[in-house]
Amino acid sequence: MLDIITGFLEATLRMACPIMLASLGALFTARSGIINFAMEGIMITGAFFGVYGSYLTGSPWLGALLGMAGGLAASLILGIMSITVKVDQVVAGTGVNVLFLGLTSYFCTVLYPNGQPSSVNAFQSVVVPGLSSIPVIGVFFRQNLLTYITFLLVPVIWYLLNKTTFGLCLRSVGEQPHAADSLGIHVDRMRYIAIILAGLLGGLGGAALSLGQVSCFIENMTSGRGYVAWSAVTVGKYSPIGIMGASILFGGAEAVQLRLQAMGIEIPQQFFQMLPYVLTMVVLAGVVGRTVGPKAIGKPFVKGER
Amino acid sequence: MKTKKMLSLALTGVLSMSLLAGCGGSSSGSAQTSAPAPSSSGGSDGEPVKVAMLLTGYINDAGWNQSAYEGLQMAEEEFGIEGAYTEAVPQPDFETVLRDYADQGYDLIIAVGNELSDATLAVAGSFPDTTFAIMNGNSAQAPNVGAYRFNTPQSGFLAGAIAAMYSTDGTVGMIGGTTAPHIKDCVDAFAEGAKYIDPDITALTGYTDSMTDVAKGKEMGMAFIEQGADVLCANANSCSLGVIDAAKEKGIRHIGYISDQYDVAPDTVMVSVVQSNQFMIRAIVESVINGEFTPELHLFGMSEGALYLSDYHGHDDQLTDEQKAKIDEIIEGIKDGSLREAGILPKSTFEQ
Repeated sequence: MLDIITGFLEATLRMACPIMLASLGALFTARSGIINFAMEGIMITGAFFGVYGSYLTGSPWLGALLGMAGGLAASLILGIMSITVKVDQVVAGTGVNVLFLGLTSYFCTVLYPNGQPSSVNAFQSVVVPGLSSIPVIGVFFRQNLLTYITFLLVPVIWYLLNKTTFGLCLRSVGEQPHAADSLGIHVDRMRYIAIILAGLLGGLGGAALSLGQVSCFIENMTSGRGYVAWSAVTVGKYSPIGIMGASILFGGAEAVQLRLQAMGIEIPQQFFQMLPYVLTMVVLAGVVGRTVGPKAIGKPFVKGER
Repeated sequence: MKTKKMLSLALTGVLSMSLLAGCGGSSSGSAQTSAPAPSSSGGSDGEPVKVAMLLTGYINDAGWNQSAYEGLQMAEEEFGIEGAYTEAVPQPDFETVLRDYADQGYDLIIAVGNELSDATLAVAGSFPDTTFAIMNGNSAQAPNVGAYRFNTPQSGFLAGAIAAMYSTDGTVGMIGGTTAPHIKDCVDAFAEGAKYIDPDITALTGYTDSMTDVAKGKEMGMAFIEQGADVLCANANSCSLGVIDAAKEKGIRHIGYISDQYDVAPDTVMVSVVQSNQFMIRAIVESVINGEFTPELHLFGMSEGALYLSDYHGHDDQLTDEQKAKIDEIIEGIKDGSLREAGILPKSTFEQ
């Protein structure tokens, strides 16, 4: 029984980490008033360049850096479309997703002339001596460094958003951009900063998938995790701690359904596959309740216009 | 403001280009005719049989399309047919390309992929003298359209039996990508095959509901290993690579599927049950040349050579001579239909 719980917790952490990173990135854009529907495209780009970077240099860290740069590029397109050009943000985000899903597949054939390697150097788990041998709880102390970083980011981002001038400015831009503007805050500049942070974290989330969970890139390997990351922002009530909970919920639900299938219980497996979605709805309705997003979300800022 | 408009136009252009590219085909599908091989057997009237092939992807995709094209090359060499192909045919051109080949008097036109089904059925009526074959098709049409599929219960059964032999702890697992009938057939037959070798064995089965989510494949593999599985197998395209990764990480064994997956993890993949497009195409051409064509849904399996067991790459030293003999016996039993008649080998969903 303990083995099963340990395995379940371990799988939950592994599956929650990429979603949490991307979701924390998307939080910045959400709080600054931008709907980040492009997270899927940002993550897949991060996943691709993470593996490519590790393939070129042999170091997963440099790979993750390249993945972050790739995520940044994808994110900036969303930024230009929604901040400077002021098009519909959902359409712009969907465009970014389609573009980078195609581009990463294309890069796969162009950048690997001799075929893609079946695996590259990936992140290894770092075992904390002593603590990791505690039954069950020990799993928290034998994860890869990326997972530790992800959980460390939660309080850091909470502090950044709620206790610093930068956070106040960012939130005010998402709530009342015109009021913020009248006080001398550069609305567009704040939103670009949010876009940059979302790109970096989303790219790292993609790399956490391709270099943390597995060690290769497969076309469309994010399989909707970018959208899940965006919904984690809503389920998490636009707060880093809520996002941590939501990501663990999504990861845990998936870990449960895979285990229920593996146990060979005589129920059609579609019911198990439904579980993550049902759980999300139950939690949304029963625990989270009404979520109120930033007031100016989805609205492009035009100076002087009401 | 003007620069913004220009910028928005440029970006819209880029995005719409990407959308077009996403549709997966250039508007100018290149048509090439390969040099006719020296005619040896030839058709009934002395002329070489002309075979055309339509592909929706590129012949160097290292997968589905490439193996189909290699099958055409194999048939050219072996039967002395005259082969031609058009790759990356975009959907609006399906019918046009099919008609072109039929007009040019090709005897057999092979549509590689179920997505070509509708176009083929629409065109076939106008060309009663041409034979059409749809790979992975569901529907045949009298008198000149045949559909061809792999007999996946055969491959699943064999994989299950071999997995049971490699298992030491009495639990094996099979992971399917989707519940599409041909995959479900294979997964169900895997359990039957394992039970045929060891009636007390636990055969775990599950579905990832994705063919590309390699991380989910790995997690499912991990969950199976936690439940005690010591041999895994997966029929889920790229998702299978995650399952192999889990097996490798936990140091258990894996049975490859669809292609010889030895190179993915040489110490983990014991042997692979191969579904060969090459031999499938070769078998289609052979049946047409021999005048054995019938307008129905054909299930090609081991006796047609479309399914076979790969090389063990040295891992057969972990099997006893008795077990190796049993594997040969099962393959023979599948080929001659005796296992099927005895009700041991499950029936394919597509069997009529």
